[in-house]
Amino acid sequence: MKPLNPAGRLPSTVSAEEALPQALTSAHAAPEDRALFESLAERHYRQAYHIAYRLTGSHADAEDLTQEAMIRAYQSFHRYRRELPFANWLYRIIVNLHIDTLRRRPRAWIDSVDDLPGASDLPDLESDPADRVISRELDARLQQALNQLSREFRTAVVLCDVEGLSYEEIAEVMQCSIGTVRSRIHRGRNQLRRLLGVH
Amino acid sequence: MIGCNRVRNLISAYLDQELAGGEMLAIRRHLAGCAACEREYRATQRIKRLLGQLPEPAGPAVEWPGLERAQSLRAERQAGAVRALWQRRRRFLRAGVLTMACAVLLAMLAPLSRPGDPNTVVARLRPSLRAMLATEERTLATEWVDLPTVAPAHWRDADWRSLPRWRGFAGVRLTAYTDIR
Repeated sequence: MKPLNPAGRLPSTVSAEEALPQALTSAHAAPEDRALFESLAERHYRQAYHIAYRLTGSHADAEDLTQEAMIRAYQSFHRYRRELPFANWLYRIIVNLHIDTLRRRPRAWIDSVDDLPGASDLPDLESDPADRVISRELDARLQQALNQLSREFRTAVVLCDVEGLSYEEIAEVMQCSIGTVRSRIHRGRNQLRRLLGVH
Repeated sequence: MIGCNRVRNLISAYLDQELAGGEMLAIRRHLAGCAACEREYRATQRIKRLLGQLPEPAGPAVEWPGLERAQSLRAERQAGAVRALWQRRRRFLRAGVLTMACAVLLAMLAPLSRPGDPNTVVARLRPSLRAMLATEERTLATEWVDLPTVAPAHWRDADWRSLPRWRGFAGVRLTAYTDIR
């Protein structure tokens, strides 16, 4: 074991790969990959967290999911094709991890539809610019409605409407056909309309 | 010509501009002349806009902590999960052991608690009731004797079933009272 320097840090002769815990090293990752990965992670973490939060509906789960996805992404970084968007590759890992988590964990709670707002409570973003800022309460209600969708519908709707991915990109992330994505988004939105009373 | 059902199935894809040019045009024309489908379109558009306006979560949790910190956080989470699992198992184990101990205790005490003869039953009655029985205040006494808890099992089996339901308890109590006497 190499001694620590007075500042409590590893000596500068230790490479980045040596400094990493074993679980973090990727068999094919070069040291420069780590720097690249860190910069990509820093750039995309916030948006990935947003997706994870909309999928899980809880900050604690979103934090766990995003960090776990990042660690897995680093471990598989040698398989990442650099010509493709990093974000979409990361979203695919998040979606797959989310599926695994749901399979392992029974559904914890289902909110009552009665608690959701009626159409009159929802702002019309088109007509009134003052309503363009979504209140915390409305955010929570929309999230509550999202939580009631099935996993497939919620993922498709979140990737399309929250993240703004195209159907082709969503199909790639969810590993299904574009027709399936179209159907899931359509049905997911219809369910949200019913839950929120938007006619 | 495109029908309302077809249009409504394609409204989301139309809204997202994910249809071919011909279909986009056909739906646009249909919406211009169909108020019901136009309403559907507006409602779907409203949902999309609301979701698009959802704010990004804020706070320290949304900042990337770096690989090493993320790894140590994961190790903490995994350790916490294992601890929680063992705590759950310990609780189940404790409850199981307690239940078994109670069952064994009850099995050991059961012969002692079974009244062998009418005098035992009378001895277990509260003093005021014993006094009532002694003074032959039968009506009052039968209201107080809770036979299912004080009478021997063979009384309950014999008398309870033979009586009409509406006078079951009173009848059994009368029988018990007579036997005790």
